[in-house]
Amino acid sequence: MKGFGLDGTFPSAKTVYVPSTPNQTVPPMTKSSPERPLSPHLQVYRWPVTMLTSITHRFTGIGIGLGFLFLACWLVALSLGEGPYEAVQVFHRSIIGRFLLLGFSWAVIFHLFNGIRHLFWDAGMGFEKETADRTGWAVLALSVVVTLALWWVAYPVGGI
Amino acid sequence: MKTATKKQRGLGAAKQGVHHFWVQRMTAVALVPLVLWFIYSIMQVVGAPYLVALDYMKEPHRVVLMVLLIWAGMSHLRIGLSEVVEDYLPDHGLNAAAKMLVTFFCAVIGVTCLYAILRIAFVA
Repeated sequence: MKGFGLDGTFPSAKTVYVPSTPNQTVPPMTKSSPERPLSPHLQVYRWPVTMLTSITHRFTGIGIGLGFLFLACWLVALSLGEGPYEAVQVFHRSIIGRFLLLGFSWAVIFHLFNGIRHLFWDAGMGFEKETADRTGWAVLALSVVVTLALWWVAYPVGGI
Repeated sequence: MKTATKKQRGLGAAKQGVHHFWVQRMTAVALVPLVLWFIYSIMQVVGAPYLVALDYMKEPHRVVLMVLLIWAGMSHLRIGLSEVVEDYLPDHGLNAAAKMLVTFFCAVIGVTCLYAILRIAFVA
């Protein structure tokens, strides 16, 4: 990128810019035109862990939003009485219920840990490539370990 | 006269400047201790019988913390989901519709949770 500031130099006054002439054929600006050049997109990159944690943060965020339905159902049932509460508990103990709750709890824990990582970034800390890679792996591993540890404790106690 | 700066100022995909960015950080900071507390609390009542869970959630400080959790959580969720809509739906009509849906979803879930929390505290 010589001459564009990235190496400390800028185009000199002698640089000649060639304006595009009306004779040039320009492909039509339509979405379907296959000849239009595209900037490199997701699939051409080898995924670094920072990319993985970034998209996982977004997906877990959406998942937690849907998971709030769990919390709403649990709270409403608890406020209504023993019957509705037991019904919700029965669902939580079912295979599907347990699977969804496991996913929900991991999503919350991952989003929490990675969110703290984001807050440090916002404060200007830990944004170096090596640090970001390391904390990325740490957040992924820690979220799985903590989720399994919590379930290991809760499973025999609550039967959930 | 509209200069480029004036046109740009306060705009962005969200049309709100940095307001959403800032609220998202504030709610995030608030949610860190709230979610840690929530995980701890849920671990206390996992699988508990009805009356035990009810008594537990009736505690005044838990009622206050739950309201704060839902409030901060729903504000955070609304901005977060709106950001996803802003990123992936360039069509203005679809964008507006999806953002309304996001807002309605957060409002319904949030108000339902708040109703239940207060009912637990004062009625149940």
